[in-house]
Amino acid sequence: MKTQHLAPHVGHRYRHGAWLAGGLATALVLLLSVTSGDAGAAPVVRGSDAEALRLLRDAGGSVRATHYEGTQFITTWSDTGGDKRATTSLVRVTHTPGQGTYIEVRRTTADASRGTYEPDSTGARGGLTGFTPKMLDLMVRNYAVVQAGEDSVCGRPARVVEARRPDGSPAGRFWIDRDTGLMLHRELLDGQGRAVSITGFYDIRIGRPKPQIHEVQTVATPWGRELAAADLGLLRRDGWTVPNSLPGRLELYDARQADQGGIVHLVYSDGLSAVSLFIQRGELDERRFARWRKIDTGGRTVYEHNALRRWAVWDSDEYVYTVLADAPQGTADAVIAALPHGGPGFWGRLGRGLKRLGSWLNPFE
Amino acid sequence: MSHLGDRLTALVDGELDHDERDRVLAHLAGCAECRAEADAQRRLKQRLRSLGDAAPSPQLLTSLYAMGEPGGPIPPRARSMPGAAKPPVVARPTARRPARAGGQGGSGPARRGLKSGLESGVGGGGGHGAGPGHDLAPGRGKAGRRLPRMRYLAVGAATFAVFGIGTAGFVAGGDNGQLPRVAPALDQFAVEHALTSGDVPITDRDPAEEVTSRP
Repeated sequence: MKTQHLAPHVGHRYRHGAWLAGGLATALVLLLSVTSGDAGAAPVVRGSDAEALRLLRDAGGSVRATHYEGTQFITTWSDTGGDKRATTSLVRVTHTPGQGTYIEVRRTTADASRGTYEPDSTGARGGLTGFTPKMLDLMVRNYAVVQAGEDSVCGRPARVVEARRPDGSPAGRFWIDRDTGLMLHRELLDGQGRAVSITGFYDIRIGRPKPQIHEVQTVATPWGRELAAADLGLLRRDGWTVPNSLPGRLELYDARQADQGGIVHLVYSDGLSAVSLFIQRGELDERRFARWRKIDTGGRTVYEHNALRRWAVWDSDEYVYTVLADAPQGTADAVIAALPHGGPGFWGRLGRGLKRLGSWLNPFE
Repeated sequence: MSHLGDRLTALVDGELDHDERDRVLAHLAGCAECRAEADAQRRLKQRLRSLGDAAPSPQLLTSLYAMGEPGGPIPPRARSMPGAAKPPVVARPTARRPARAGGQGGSGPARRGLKSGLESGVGGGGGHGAGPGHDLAPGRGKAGRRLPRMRYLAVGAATFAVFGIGTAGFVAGGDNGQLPRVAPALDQFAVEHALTSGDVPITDRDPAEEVTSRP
């Protein structure tokens, strides 16, 4: 009799425990999904201005729809071990809608050299905007994009748009031509409000370009093979390091592979800064980097070079890593530190060896 | 008192030959006193046989089994020296021929021999001649020792396999093989980076190509 009374009670308690366990598991999954470190799950910075966003979005279309020619300057500031320096390049750009943009690097405004041709068919923007549509989505997520008044660039009236951090400090500024919508000038700022890099027109002329002969050295088209999530999963399974995010709220938004050599290109951004990570199998040929700055990281050497962009090259466990950053120095350093350095370690070496043994024994491999 | 004496006992035990048995039976036919004596002896014999079928109590079995457990360290076996007398032959108790109760059994009889003897209806020790526990009978005791030995063997083989495969894997994983020496194509990377980030697609390979100024 006692058992008959107890049985339903125990069963009820058991079901209650199952519900409790299920609830805890669900809560744990939700908690992990929130705290997984995925930049996509980071809280969205609110307060963006719709008109400011429209100006930025339209700037991309205006670049392709407008005749223009002019000289751009690109300046990047760096501070490597107390050695503060600014590097500037002058670039002559000539754009014809429906065709493309000729880009020529000049040592001075009077010096011409062979350049690069970027067809409009690639969807590129001649390097004027400094962001892609995907980057703009990330910018809205990480910054408050607002209008910040009016100004003038090269004598042309411009509207100013700012991307602000959650604390209200500006992280990026854009000067957009009031008449054509072209991006005339843009700045990337660090946490102290200092300019990290500036790209803007030194002079500009709106209208049909004068006929001239361009000697093209490179036709700039991005690597054709885009890597989907499944491709990235296969790479990870094969031992490649493919982070979904990097320090500085940088999120992976593009991944491609070269047609030859199997080089993988991963692109990260928070909307303003852009970091490219190139990975290829092999050992670094260090002789090519004799003039670069050597940084010792736990017995391994990282070769760094700051010019228009911040470069770092090193090898680690069968892979050569090349980081190319348009980002503040601190962000670039944190990205480099977050990537693999040194050997595979005990378990990595053991796993690699067992994998090799398995492949030797597998007649179908 | 029987008129037949020992022959009556021999009759009951079936030890008389044919002629002697006929004469004894002829006497019994006319002698009521001897018939009664013969009946009494048969009943006694039957009772003794029935006593042999009685099962021992569990407590007794437990005590006897405990005597068969491994004791302390086994003293070394005495080696026979040249000229010395040979050690006595050790008799092993069997189920077919149990020893007499109270025999010269040693202190460490084999459990199987004991149990068999008990199950056959006769208690007793480990047979005569067994030494003081240093010569355990084969059978269950030996099988009991074989099992852990197999376990040790299996564990040892597994350990050897794990360490062997692990060492081979570690050694095989140490060599980088025929990795190519690569120098990243920086100019190509610079253009690829610019195209995917909306920047100006220019190379950034040689610092000498840029105008550098110090603030």
